[in-house]
Amino acid sequence: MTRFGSHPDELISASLSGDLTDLERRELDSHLASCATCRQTLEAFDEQRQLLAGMTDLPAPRDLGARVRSGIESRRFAMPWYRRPVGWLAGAATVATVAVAALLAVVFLNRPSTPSIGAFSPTPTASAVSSQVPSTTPAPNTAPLGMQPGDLLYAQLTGPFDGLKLTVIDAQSGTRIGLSDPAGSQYGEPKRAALSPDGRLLAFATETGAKGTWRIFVANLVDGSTQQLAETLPVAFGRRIAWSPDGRYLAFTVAPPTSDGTSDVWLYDRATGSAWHQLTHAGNAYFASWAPSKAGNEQLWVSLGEANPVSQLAQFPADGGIPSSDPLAGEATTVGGVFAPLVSPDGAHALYWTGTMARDGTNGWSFSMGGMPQLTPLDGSWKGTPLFSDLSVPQDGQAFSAGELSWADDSDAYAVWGANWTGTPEGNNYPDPNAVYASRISKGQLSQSSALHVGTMTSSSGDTLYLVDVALSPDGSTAAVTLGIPLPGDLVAPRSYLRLITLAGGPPSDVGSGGLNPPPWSGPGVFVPASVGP
Amino acid sequence: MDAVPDPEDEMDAMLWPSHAWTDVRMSTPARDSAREASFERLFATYSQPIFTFALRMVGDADRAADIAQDTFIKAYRKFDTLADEASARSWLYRIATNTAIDDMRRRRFLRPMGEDEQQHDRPDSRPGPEAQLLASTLDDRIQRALLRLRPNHRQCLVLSDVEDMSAHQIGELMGMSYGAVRTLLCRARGEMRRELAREGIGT
Repeated sequence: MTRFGSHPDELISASLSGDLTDLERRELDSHLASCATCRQTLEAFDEQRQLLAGMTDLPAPRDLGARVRSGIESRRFAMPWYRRPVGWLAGAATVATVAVAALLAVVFLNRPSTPSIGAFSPTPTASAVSSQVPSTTPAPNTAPLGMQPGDLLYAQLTGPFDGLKLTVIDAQSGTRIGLSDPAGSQYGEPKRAALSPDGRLLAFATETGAKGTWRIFVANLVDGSTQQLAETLPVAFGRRIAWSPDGRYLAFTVAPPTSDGTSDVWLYDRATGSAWHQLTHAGNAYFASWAPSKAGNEQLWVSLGEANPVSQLAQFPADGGIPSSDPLAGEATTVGGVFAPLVSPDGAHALYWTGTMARDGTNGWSFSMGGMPQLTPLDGSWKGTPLFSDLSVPQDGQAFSAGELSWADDSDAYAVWGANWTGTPEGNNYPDPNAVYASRISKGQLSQSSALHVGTMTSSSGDTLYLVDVALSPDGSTAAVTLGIPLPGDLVAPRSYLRLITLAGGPPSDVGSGGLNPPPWSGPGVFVPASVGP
Repeated sequence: MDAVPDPEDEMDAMLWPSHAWTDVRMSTPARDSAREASFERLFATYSQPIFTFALRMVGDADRAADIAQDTFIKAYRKFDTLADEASARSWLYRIATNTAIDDMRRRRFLRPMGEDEQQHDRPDSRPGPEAQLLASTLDDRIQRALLRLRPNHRQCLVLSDVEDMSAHQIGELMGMSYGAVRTLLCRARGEMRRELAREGIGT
């Protein structure tokens, strides 16, 4: 018998975690030698401990870090009002005013035939409607940021991961402008950008870390005011953003985050500022490209994801605003077997995809068999030649599933990049989804040797860089390539290199790192077109 | 009847010590990267253990993920109150424990009438690969037994037998004396032994 009673369960329990004094240990040992009940208890407790310790571990959710990051960001305003600094109260009043104004704006602007994008996605935000509409008032006839044709502009994301700021910089003049952050948007990594022909507005898409969705914004480079247009799943062929040749409309694809990858084409009308409307109502429609205006009509190509994809040319009067009826519902020009045509700026050629498509869940439509990029003169025949001279569809049909295409403003230089080859590699990791293949129409097709020499694809910490975006300079001599650096965790600010590569060869150079290592996120780049007057 | 402190008030007080706003938000631009790196290390080291701890406490992967998420968000908010990284483990588990208990309390109030504790707290039963399913059968029974324990018994048993903490560490974390922890742990083991027997496990 011990001071813990006739059966010292507490000592037995404590012995399992080494919580006994020497004296207690001796007491227990001597008791156990003579008590079968306590030996049984020890055995049971020990087994219990082993059972608990041996339970199978479920891995923590892969998005836990992103959720924490998102939570930290969203708790920014979770503080009780009585503890907020006075300045915030002023902000709150502004928010309230904005909300009321937004409500009024929605009441007065809402047209039943052209539903607001907010009808099916959490965008637009209140501030997007009322307070942050980029002003389109003609300003003195000078381009913002002191930009000149041929300059490289790029977005830069800086700050701690939960307070990232977005700045647009002209690499040549060094002029920069910080963008306002529409309420609650929390900028993530910019992935695509498109500069309006007059250089005043920059449309861009950023990735939202926590959800992996993309948000599409328009920023006024004169005053930095920024408006969020949409939130979308970055479906495979839904990442193109482009201004109409006259600069009035912006076209983009929206696959609502709550959807299963269904998509439609949306337009933003700069003339009205607050209007952005759904152009198609097909559920499998993708914005492909604008064609030069014709007879007072805007023309844009829309592609429909189907087993045998088709593309249609939508037309509507350039000066009439976004049409309320589906321009594809009438007798639109339809071309079978053509997907995502990218018309050259001069309207003489198009790059496009052919093959058999299939729905790939929330990734939308992509090629399941025989996906290949083609080049055709726009003579109405759509009889293209394969872009790659040394690639053909393998017997099993496993070719490209998706990829990106780009033109230079000279309508001669073009690039294929981020193209995902599902078949057996044809050569040494060829075709490589992380490579940029570029050539000129005047020089002929692409081949393995057309891959640009992008320099080291390894970051200073030894991680393999990933290709984010490619932009070609107006004369087609240079590519601005954004290369993302894998993050060591979800709780650090995004990082990337913006690398300039000359198509003719020569050493690449990085811009935007500011001597920092690792650099902040810089990119994507856009080149200032010749239409921006000096 | 004694006034019961509102868990939300407690959480709020924990989340927002009087200096927190100044430290965390107003000085954002000046925040040093060392602090961020330090928090990142904390997350990298403890995200899996905290998730596992929460899973054992509530028996549901989705809820465990929520608890782990809230734990790290709170930790980030009050990171400046952490004296040094050496004491990070018990500090973090203390937050996780409080968060898990808050979650259980909240669910008790939210639970539809007629739904009993066992049903509510049943273990995660999501299907997985066959091998995992076979392996999890025993786990399911252990987890069911665990969920029938009183929360404080479950807590100290998990901290001791899963997290391998000593009575001293558990006492520091639960705000109890060394002796009280030993007594509590002994009772928890006795209770668990009976619950395991109900699942046909052990003697």
